[in-house]
Parts: sequence; structure tokens; C-alpha cells
Amino acid sequence: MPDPADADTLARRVAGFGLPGADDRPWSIPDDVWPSLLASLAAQRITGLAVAGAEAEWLLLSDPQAEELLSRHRDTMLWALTVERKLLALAAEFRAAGIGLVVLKGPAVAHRFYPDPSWRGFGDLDVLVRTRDWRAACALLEDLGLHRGLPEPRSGFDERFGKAAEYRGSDGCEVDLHRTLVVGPFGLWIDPDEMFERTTEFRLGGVSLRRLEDTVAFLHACVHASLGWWPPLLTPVRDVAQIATRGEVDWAAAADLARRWRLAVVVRHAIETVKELLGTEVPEAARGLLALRPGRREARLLEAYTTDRRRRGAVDLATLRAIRGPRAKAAFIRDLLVPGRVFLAARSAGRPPSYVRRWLVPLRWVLERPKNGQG
Amino acid sequence: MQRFGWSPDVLFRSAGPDVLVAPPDGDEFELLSGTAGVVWRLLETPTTIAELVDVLAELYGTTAETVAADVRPLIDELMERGLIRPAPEGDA
Repeated sequence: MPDPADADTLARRVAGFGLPGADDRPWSIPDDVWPSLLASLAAQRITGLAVAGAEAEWLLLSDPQAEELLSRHRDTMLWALTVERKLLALAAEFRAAGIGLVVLKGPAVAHRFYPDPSWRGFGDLDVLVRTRDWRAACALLEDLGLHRGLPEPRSGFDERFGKAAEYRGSDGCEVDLHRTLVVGPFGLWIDPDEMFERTTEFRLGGVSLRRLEDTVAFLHACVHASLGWWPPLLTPVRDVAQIATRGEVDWAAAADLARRWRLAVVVRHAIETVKELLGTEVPEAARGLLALRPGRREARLLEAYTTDRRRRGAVDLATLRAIRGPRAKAAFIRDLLVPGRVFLAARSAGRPPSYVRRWLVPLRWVLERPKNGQG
Repeated sequence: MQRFGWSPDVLFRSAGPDVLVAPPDGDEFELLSGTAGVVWRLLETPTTIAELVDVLAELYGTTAETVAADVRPLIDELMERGLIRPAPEGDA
């Protein structure tokens, strides 16, 4: 049994609701833990799983607890609908501009893989475009009144080394425009064009949209769960288990892609994280991916995302190692150390832009490294 | 008998017993609670008003006449807001 005083532990239990092998004994929540658990459920956007668990009489809530949960869940669902409206509006604009668009995560995963989309909350919109359409897509979003939060360091950085750009409109809805799935070396090793070809149609609000086919959606969930945040968020970890359980994943194709895109270590880490955080196993067929043997280099690079080194520039250093050729490496270093003034100002948090201050950042990373080189 | 079903361009989410609906036009949302939420869920499969009345009368343990007096205006209102529409022939 989890420690009842630990809201995070209880949130993980909620995140495992309904998965094969999850603890299906009914349980209740002490009132003194409830406020922090509710906050955690809302922050992790898993109120839908809690509501579904309560409806199934798995999660036994008092009337006040149920009322508070429903109130938070309504907020989460209102926002999900707001994001979906935004998606439909943007999809029409992209279609009119002749720019292909693939919906990542959020609506695509909620509608395809969950028994009811209300089980899966989301806070922003993630869309993928081809690298060749990147500039046109950025310009279109600007024309539509959205503004990019952080500009690219120098012109051309996005297409060469970047993963995504965050845009925000006056409605507060954030649109993450992607050209690959993750920042750093693993993002560089994924073939964006092949990923774009491995998509399929889904319909939302009567509109035809594209999403990643199930096999690639599974790999994306693994990437998001393993590399997206540290410590990992519960929703992407749940997505890994959910897609593995309900998706029509071609496991042989998943293994082939994981090998070619050098994601074996990422997939392994995601599957292990499902077990560690949700206490469930992915289906037997998915566990076959554990037989893939990741290279030592990939395993080392994974640590750049999944340890405290992440806060000390490890992903940038890992990216540098993964970039091929001295010219490209030099361009990457130049772009980060001598970015344009607009980027520098955006990174200065209200202070006067300063190259010196920027150059001190990597120095701090070195000085903050533990003396034994660990961590 | 005319059947009614969800408009395909409507976005919606369950929120416990209630349903949040985003009509196709505008920025507003509708909260369908109580009987309205139940009716919405029943309309996932195109359904006649008579069938709705029968199901609801049994569900609430009341007479068909009582339920019908509430259901017809509700269907009219959902139609007016563009949330449901007459189902094409053959849909059931």
C-alpha cells in the first residue's frame, strides 16, 4: 500500500487507474491528504482518471471530495475544449496555406487511445510540420496574431538544431510548433520526414486531421515520458501504458524504428518508468522492446535528460556531441554563445542584454559539477 | 419516425454526470447537466423522441407523458443551438 501521507504516491496510483495489472482494490483518501492530492491531480491533468475511478467505485470519495474533484475536472475539460477549438481554427488556416499539419499528443492521444477523451487532459496544442514548411508555418502563426515566446538564437537554428517553437495568442492558448519530437540528440536522430509519412487520419469536430500512426505515437509517448520532463510527468507515462495497451502498435516496426532512430534506450527507460511510477507492466508484446540493446553512447546521453545534469547544460552538451561534422558543431556553439540581440534580450529576464552574462552560464555549469564527476 | 443524433462538428467532454459542449459557432460552452446530460449521452446513437421518452420514463420511474413534456422542448433547444441534428436515413 502506498504511504497515505504522500500525495504524489496517491497521484501515481490514480494515474494507473484501469490499466491491466494495476491495483484494483477500492480505496479512499484521508481528508488531510485530499487538498494536496487534488492539487497534484489538477497540476498533472489527471482529474479525468480520478473521476473515472470514482464512477467505477474504485476511488471512494466523500461528497465534498467528489464535488471538488468535479469542479477541477470541469475546468480541465473546458480548457481541453478551448484547445481543440483552437486546433480546428488553425487546421483550417494551415490547410488554406498548403502547409501539412500533424497533431501530436493532446487531442490526438485523448480521442484515439483512451476509453473516453475526458480521461486525458491537456494544456496546450502540439503540432508537427515538415522542416521545409517551418518558416511558412512560423510566419502563418505570426499573421494569425500569435507571438513566439523565445526567438531562435540565430537565423536557421530552428531547422538545423531546433525541436519546436512556443507560440501564444491573446486567448492564452499555447501552440507548440514542432519539426521533431524532442530537443537534443534524440531529436536530431529521429527522421522527421519519415515520421511525417507515418501518419493517419482522425476526425475531430467533423474535420479531418492527421495524427501519428499508433506505432510512432507509442514511440513519441516514450520520448515524452523519458525525455520531456525530469522528474517525469504522469500523463506521458500513462500515455505509454495506454497506447501499448489499446493501440494497434506494430511491435516489429516499433523495434525497427527505435533501432534506426536510436531510441532503444529511451523506450526501455519509458517502459521501466511505467512500472516504477504506475506499478503496472506494459503488455508482453511491448516488453519485447526491452530486448533491444541500446548503444553505450545513447545510454550515456539519456543521463543528460534524466539526471540532475539536465539543469547544468547536459542536453546542450549532448546535442553538441550528436551533431555531425566540425562545421555544424561550430555553428551550434556560435549560435548559442553569440546569439542575436533579440534572443539575448528575451533570455535576459528584464535585465540589459549581456553576452558576458551568457558566457558565464557554461562556466557556472562547470563550477557546479560535483567534484567526483557524478550526478 | 425522425431520429436525432449529435452534430458531427460539435466538440464535447464528459465531466462526471454532466457534459460540456462547445457549439460549432462562437466561443461559449454549454453545460448539460441532469436530464440534459442523460439525453446527450443517449443521442450518441441516433434516437427518436419516443425512444428517449421511454428510456427516461423508466430511468426516472415516472410516466411517459411527464417526461415527454420536458424532452420535446429540450430537443428543440439542442437543435436550435446546433448541438444535435436530424440523423440521416438509415442511421440508428
